[in-house]
Order: sequence, then structure tokens, then C-alpha cells
Amino acid sequence: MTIIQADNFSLYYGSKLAVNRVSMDIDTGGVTAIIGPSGCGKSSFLRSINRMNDLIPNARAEGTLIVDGKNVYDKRIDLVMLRRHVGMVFQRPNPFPKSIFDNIAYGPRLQGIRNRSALNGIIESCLKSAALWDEVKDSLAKSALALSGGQQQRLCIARALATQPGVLLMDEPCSALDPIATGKIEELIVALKERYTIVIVTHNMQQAARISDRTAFFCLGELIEYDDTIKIFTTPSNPQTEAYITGRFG
Amino acid sequence: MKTIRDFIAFQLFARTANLVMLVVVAIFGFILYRSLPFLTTGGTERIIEAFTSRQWFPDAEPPVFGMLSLFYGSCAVTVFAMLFAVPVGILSAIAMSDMVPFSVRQILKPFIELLAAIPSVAFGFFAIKIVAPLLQESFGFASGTNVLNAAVILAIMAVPTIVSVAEDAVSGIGREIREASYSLGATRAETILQVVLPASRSGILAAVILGTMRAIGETMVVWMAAGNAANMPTAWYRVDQVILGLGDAVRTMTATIAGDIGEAPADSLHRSALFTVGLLLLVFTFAMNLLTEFITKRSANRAAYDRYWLLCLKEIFSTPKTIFFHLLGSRGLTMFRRIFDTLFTLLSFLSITLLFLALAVVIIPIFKSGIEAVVFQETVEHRLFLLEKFRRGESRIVQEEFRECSEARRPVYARLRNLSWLAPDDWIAEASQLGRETKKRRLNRAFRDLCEANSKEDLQVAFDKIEKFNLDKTDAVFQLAHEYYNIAVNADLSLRGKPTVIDPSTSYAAAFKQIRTLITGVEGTGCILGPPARDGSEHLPPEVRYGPAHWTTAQKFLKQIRYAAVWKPRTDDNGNILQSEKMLVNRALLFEKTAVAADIQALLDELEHDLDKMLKPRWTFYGNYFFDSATAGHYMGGIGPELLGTALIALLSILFALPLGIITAAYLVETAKDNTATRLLRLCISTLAGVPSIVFGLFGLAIIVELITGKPCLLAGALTLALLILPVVIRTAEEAIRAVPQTYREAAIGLGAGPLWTFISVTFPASLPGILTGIILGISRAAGETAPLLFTCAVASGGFVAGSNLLFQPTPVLSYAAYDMAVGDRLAEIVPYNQFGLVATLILFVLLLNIAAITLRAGITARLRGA
Repeated sequence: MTIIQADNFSLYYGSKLAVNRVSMDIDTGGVTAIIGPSGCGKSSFLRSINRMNDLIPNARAEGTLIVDGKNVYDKRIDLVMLRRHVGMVFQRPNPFPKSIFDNIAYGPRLQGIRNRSALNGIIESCLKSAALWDEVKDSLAKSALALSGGQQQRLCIARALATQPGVLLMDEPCSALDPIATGKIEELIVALKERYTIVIVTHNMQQAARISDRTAFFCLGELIEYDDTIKIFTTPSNPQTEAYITGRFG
Repeated sequence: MKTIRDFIAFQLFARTANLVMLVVVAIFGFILYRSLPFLTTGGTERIIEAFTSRQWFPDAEPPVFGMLSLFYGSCAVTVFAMLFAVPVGILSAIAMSDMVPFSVRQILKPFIELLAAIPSVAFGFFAIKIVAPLLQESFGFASGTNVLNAAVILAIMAVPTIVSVAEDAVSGIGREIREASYSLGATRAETILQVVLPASRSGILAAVILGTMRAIGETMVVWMAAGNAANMPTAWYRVDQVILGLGDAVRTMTATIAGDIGEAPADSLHRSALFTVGLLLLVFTFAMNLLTEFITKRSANRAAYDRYWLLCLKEIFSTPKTIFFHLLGSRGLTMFRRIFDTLFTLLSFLSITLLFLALAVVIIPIFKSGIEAVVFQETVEHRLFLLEKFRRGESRIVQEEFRECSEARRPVYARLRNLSWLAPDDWIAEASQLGRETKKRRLNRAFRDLCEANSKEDLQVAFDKIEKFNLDKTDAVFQLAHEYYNIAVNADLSLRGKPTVIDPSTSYAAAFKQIRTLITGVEGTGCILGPPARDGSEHLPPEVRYGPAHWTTAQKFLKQIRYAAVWKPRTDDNGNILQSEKMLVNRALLFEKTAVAADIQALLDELEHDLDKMLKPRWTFYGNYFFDSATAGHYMGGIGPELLGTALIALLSILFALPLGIITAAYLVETAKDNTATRLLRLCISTLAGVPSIVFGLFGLAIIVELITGKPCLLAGALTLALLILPVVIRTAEEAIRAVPQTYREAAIGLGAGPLWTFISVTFPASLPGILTGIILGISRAAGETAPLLFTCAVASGGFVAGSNLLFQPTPVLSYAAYDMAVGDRLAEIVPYNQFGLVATLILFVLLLNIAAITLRAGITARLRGA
């Protein structure tokens, strides 16, 4: 079943074209990786899915981008609901300067869940899902900024899970982390793909090969090739993809 | 490798930089030293009295120095100002950082900076000239200068400062954390209130403290707007009493210093008490400054967040919210969140609109009235004035024009002469100047009798007496007596003393005299035409010698002549007087049903009908307004000496501040290590930046005036201002030197240059544009300051004395003149365009300098970015 459906979708920053007429369908469940050289529009495309680009001055979209049957760039769409259903994890860990507890409780509280025991339950399950529970269960009141980088990023994942999204967008979630922390996050992603549709932008081709089921290759704002990961990495049909995979450019 | 030269240079830089510390210590030391007589002579009782008594009676016997009401005054205006300024400031900062498009923000930000630079005396001027009458007339306050007025103006003044600092704090939080919040489905209001504001709370607190410091240290606005009466509600701790006190006048600490120094002899207890007030201000601002340092430092290491009691407290406070959310249900909650978000956005936009509206309301009227000082309909009187005073204009043409006008005025003067038996005092004055030496006194007495005769018989008797003096026919007094006799012989002389029908408190004589005064002038008030004969009137003050310079003033006089203000008693049914009401009546009506009614009516009609012929108004551009000196009270002429004085004092002060400023900045960037001494130096600089300007005035008085120059003068003022602008210069210079790319230095050092040579040949030249920004900002700050000059330099009027040593003369400056014209002079009231013109010039002067600085900085930033 298709959950995200882009049709001739383009995105501009002012007059600069960042995403050029991309059409691709992403199915429910599994991990979809988006790879490509720097500045190829992969992050811009990802950030269009939950309209995070609204925060960037002069950003403007064309074409359709449908998530869960609703056009994201429809004027009448409820951004709050959209973002609740499409969670996001960012390039650099960005916990709030609050306690670990408050970080994860932020989303549920916005939705009106304020009962302490209900929150406790959510926080425990989210932290367990993010494989962070054992490390922080005794210091939930501690500032999130006291955690290490890798822990902070897992906390951000836990925080995103707390709003019970269907889709989880990850924008190079490991680029600011060391190899050990990266390994943990990758394990986590593989574990999460049973329950969530994950779209991950990555710079690291090995990472895409390790964790994703399908891979899209972007170049200069265009979608060059989109297929099963195994096929992309073994027998790509487009010569540009092959050149990139084999490290001749990018 | 360190050479001897570099070692000496380092020592020189370090010692010079430490001078700044010395300055701060000297300020504290001398203010304390001068407070000592007050603090020590009266024992503890005096100190207890100072902090517990509300009575501030320094001139009583024995004097009472209770400062409680002064503290209350300072606190009341500050608290009310902050109640308005803090929410508006923070919401405006949010609107700027999170709501308006990027391009709009790029315009708003320097604009806010500009507004923060407007001199406080301009706000004080606005308060006293525009807000006070409004409060008094439209809102029924007993007096327009009160807590409310001062608080509103202080708030408008403090908002730009708060916005500027708070916006830096809020936008400094960065996009990442905002994205995190939005991606979790938070609305904008929720993101700002729950994430952005808590994360930037130290910066916002610093903004609030800065705004408070600006309000509490402000002198001119509160001095001009708060009423200056040491008031304090008995129950000052009760909110309702305090709110009721909004309409009362109060006296703040700063205003007390400014107002009392002049009345406190040099070594008196009174003056020492004022220094004590200054000391308290100094200590207070220093404490605030330390607090800010502490807050910003603490947030830098972001303390862990694991206090259990804090969590419990939060839980308790959020219970009502929990219940409310529960009651709303999930659909209700969604609605509520959306509505709340919209409301918050609206409120923020409202704030920023309000901010600009308030400032527009201040600036626009000043400029609107001020422009008339330069572009206006000029009367022949102004042309004549320029010709006689400055030898400007074509003499022949002006004289000819004036002759034509005199011709047009002749009928009016003739009618006045014919009616002048009503109030013959000018005849008496004329005769007393003419009377012959030998018989002068007797003759004059006889002439006086003639003039004061109240009936035909008396007149005849008096006239016969004069005839008996045996004067020849050409004698001036004799001719005058004849002339008067001829006029008066047919008049109803008894009319003079009778009360007028409409206003029984005025006699016909007084009513006529009013008309004559308004037409021909008397000292201290202007007139519509001036004296009938100009020759021989050179000794008269300009407001009597000349008619109005502007056609609008003439119109105003005309209105005053046409309509008389009459106090009409209102009575109840039994005829008891309840209250008197001022009303305007047609002046001709005052003379209704008397023999002179027709004459008066004709006089007024002629005056109105032919006024343009009498004054020949013509549109003109008076560009020399900025160069000409003025007559007393700025009744006529320009603001040349004030503008020159302002420019001189500003330039001189930057000249003093610059070397010390640049060397200190260079020391801080290039050589200072991060140790206690450096931190102390930085603390001293920020303390200096926070010292209230009136305290600089006290310091200048105690050190520079009393110890060095001996009297207020240009040099003393410039030195005082140099200390005040020193932190501005240091900060901008430091920024500029720091902005020079490290690679430049490395290149120079790599080529074998020592640290000193690197600085002189590479770093310093590269930072010059940035330092220039600092120079301009320093000049503009010095130009706008008033309080430090009150006791060190300023005089109300008069130009520079030619030939004397300029540095050791008191100097007129724009800022002080603006204050003086607003509060002191009745003459200035008649020519508001000159008042507003002067203030508008001051604002323009400061704003243009700031625009130059901002443009320059924008250019530098662009270049550093490689554009």
C-alpha cells in the first residue's frame, strides 16, 4: 500500500530550483533510503513531506505530494495533524534544553495527555523502542543536554515516536555521530521498520545498503533511479547511478 | 620572538587599558567621597532618616533629607513603564524573529536601533509639550506632568532597547530547536512559549534588566514629565493606592539631582545629600550589572535540571491546565490550540505595530511643527530683522517694502492713537521722555493730571495749567498736550474706569490696553505689528521691536485680538457662583453700546482685512536657521550657536575617548589573557556603560569642574561626555578589531613582523572602517546627552564670546536648549516652531549619524562576507 506519493513535485527556494519534478511512491512499512551527492535536493524533498520547508524563507512548492491520501501542500491541510503523523529526526541531535522526561512528553502533552501515569507509560515505551531506557531510566529528570551525542539522537527518535507517527523521516541522522553511536542508531532503525514507514536521507552509501529496503538516487534535484536497494547497488539501470555508486563522482 | 619594543608596547597598552578601571574606581570613589559629609556628620539617625522619612526639605531649618519618596518616585515610573514596555518589547522581538518575513526583519532591525538612539531630551520635550496638555485637557488630570506621563514616555523609550536585546536572544536560539518543536506537531505559539522563550530566558532577562536600568537612570524625561513634587501614597504597598497615584506628580532620584544641584551651595550638606542619591543610583546599577553578568554566565554552562522540588512545583502549577484540557476534549483541544495560536500571532503583530505607532506619534508631530522653522511664510518683519541683525537681504528693497507696510498700518495706528485716551499711560511715558530739564518734574506732573482727568471739567483745568507754563508752541510736550487735548476733549472720559458689561472684572481701560499691547507689544510677549515708529527703538527687546516673523504667528495674534478670553461665572438658581468658566468672546462685544464701539469694530476689521498688506507674508526657505544666532528666548533667529556647540562638544569628547578606547580594545583582543584582571576590566567597561548619565554629570562636577577648570565650560563638558561614550567606543572598536580575519595577522607574523608592528601595519588599518562606526556612534551619543552637561557645560542662551578661549567658556548645546525652551521660557511659547525646530534638528543630527554608522557597518559586513 502506498503511503507517500509524489507526482511531478518541485520545490523552489526563491528562484532556485531545489527539487525538480520528482515522482515516486513509497509503500507502507520498510526503510526507504534517499542517496545522492550534496545539494541534490534529497533533504529538501524529505523536508517537504512534513512541510518543514515552511520555515525557510521564500520556499515554494509545485505539483502534488500526497501523504495518507491527503495533499500536503493543500491550503486547508492541518499542519499540526500532518506533523503528528509524520515524525522527523534531524541531522544534528536537537533536544530541547529541558529534562529527558519533558523532551519526550512534549508531543503527548500538546495533544492534551497530561496524566502523569499515562505519560510515564509513553515515556517508558518510547525510550525502550529507542533503546535508551536502560541508560537513562534513573535520571529522567536530568537535562537532555547532559547526554552524549548518540544518546541525544536516540532521545530525539524517542521523542518523535511519542506522537505515534505512521511515518518517520530521518535527515542524515548519523552524520554528526561517531561510528559506535551510528551503529546503535542503525540497529534501532532496522528494529523500528516493522512498525513505522521510515524514509531516511543519507550521505553514506554503505548505510543505505545496510539498512534500507528500497533506495532512491537523486542528482541535481531530479530523481534518477528508484528501485530495490539490492538492485540499485548491484545492477543499476542508469549509468549516472552506477557512476555514483562506484565512487566516480559525488 | 619578543623584542624590547614589543615589551614596552605591551606594557603601554596594558597600563592604558587599566586606565578604564581607574576611571570606574574614581567615579565610585569621588561620588562616595562627596557623600561622606552627609553620611558621617549626622550619625546613624540621619541615615535612618534618609531611608525612612518621606520629607525631602533640604532648605528647612533643620533640613530634612528623607529619600523614601524619591525612591518611590523612581520605582513608580519605572514599574509602570516596564509593565507596558516588557510585554510589548518581548512580543515585538518574537514577531520580528519568528513571524515577519526575513526581508522585513532586515529592515526593522536597524530601524529599531535608530529608535533606541533618539535623545531622551526629545522624548521629554514631547512629554511636556504634547502629552501633558493632552492629559490635562482631554483626560481631566489635575496636572499633565505626572507618573502616567513619565511612565508612558519612559516605556516608549525603553522598548527599542528591550526589543533589540531580546530579539538577539530569541533568534540566537537557532532554527534546529524550532524545527524539533514544529516536527512534533506544535503550533507556532506553542513552539515560542514552550521552547524558544524558556531556552532564551537569560537573554530576555538581560533585556528586561537593561530596559529597567535605562528607565531608572533616565533623567531628562522624568525631570520634565513627572512633575517634580516629592509625593508618595501613604499606603505605597497597596496596589489600588499606587494606581490612584498615577495622576500625581512624583520626584525621582535622578530628577532630584538634576533639579537641586543649582540650589545647593558647593560645600553644603544638601549637595552632599545629592551625591548620596547619586551613590545609591550607582550602587543600584552596579548590582543590576552584576546580576546580568551572573545570569548570562550561568546559562552558558546550562546547569542540569534535576531539582525534584522544581518538578513538583511545575506539576502543581500545571494542574488547572490539565483539568482545562481534559474538559475541552480532543476536538475542543484542537480548536483551542488553533485559536490560541492565531491570538498569539495577532498579539505579537499588534505589539510591533504599537511600538512603531508610538514612536511615530512622538516623532511626527515634532518634525511637523519643526519644519516650520525653516519653511514658512515670512513676514516683512523677519526680512527687516535679518537685514538689521545679519545685514542679509537687499537693503533698499526691504526698506521699501517696510515703508509700504507702514503705510498700510497707518490707519490702525491712527485709530489706536484716537482711542488712546482710554488708557493714556503711553502718553505719560512719552512725555516723561520729552520733558525739559528745568521744569521737567512740574510739567510732567501737570501732563499726568491732564491725562488722568476723568471728566471734561478736570481736563479743561489741567490743560489750562499747562498753557500757563508759558511754553513756546514748538515745545514737544506742549504739542503733545495739545494733541491729547484735542482727542480727549470730545471723548467720554468717565468710560475708562467703568467695568465692562460682559466681564465685570475688567475695566474699559484695561480692555483697550489689552488690544493695544497685542498690536504694539510689551516686553515678554510678542505683538502683531510692533511699535508705530522703528527709529529710536533699537534698545527695545526683539519681541517688542519687531512684529511676528511668521505669518502663522501673526494669525495667532490676530485670533487673540479678535477673541478675548473671559471668565464667566456659572451660578446656580440662587445666584451663588459655582465655578468660573473660561470662554472666548468677540472682543468688539466688550465695548458694545459704548461711544467707542464703532471705532473698536473698525479697528479690528481693518486689522484683519489688511493684515497681509501690513506684513506682506511670502513663502521662504530659511536655510540660515541652522547658522544664525537667536535673540533671547529664541524668539527670532536660528540655532547656529547651539548646533555648533553640539558639534564641538561631540567632536571634542570623541577626540578624548578615542585613543583610550582603541588602545583598550586592542589590548582586549590582541594581548589580554583570559584571567581575573581581564574579567575585571570587562566588568568595569560594562559598569561604565550602565552608569546613569546624571551620575556622570555629578562626577564631572566634582572632578573636572571643581578641581580643574573651575567653572562649567566646553572642556569640562567634553571630558565628562568622553567618559560616557568610552564604553561605546571600546565595544565597537573591539568588535572591529576582532572581525579582522586571523589570517591577516598570521600573514604578517609569517613575514617576520612583531606583534606591535602587526597591529599597527595590518590589523589596525583593516579594522578602521569598523572603528569609524564606533566614532560615529560615539559622536551621536554625545550629541544627544543632556544630563551630564547640566552642571558641567551648558548655558541656556547666548553665542560664543568672540576672542575668548573657547574651551573655557560655557557652551550652548541643542540638547540643553531643548530642555530649557520646553520648561522655561514664555517667549519660546509664542514661537513653537523654533522650539520644535530645535528638537527636530537634534533628532535629525543624531539619526543621520546613526544611519551613517549603520550603513557603514552593513558595508563592512557585506565585504567580510565576500560580497
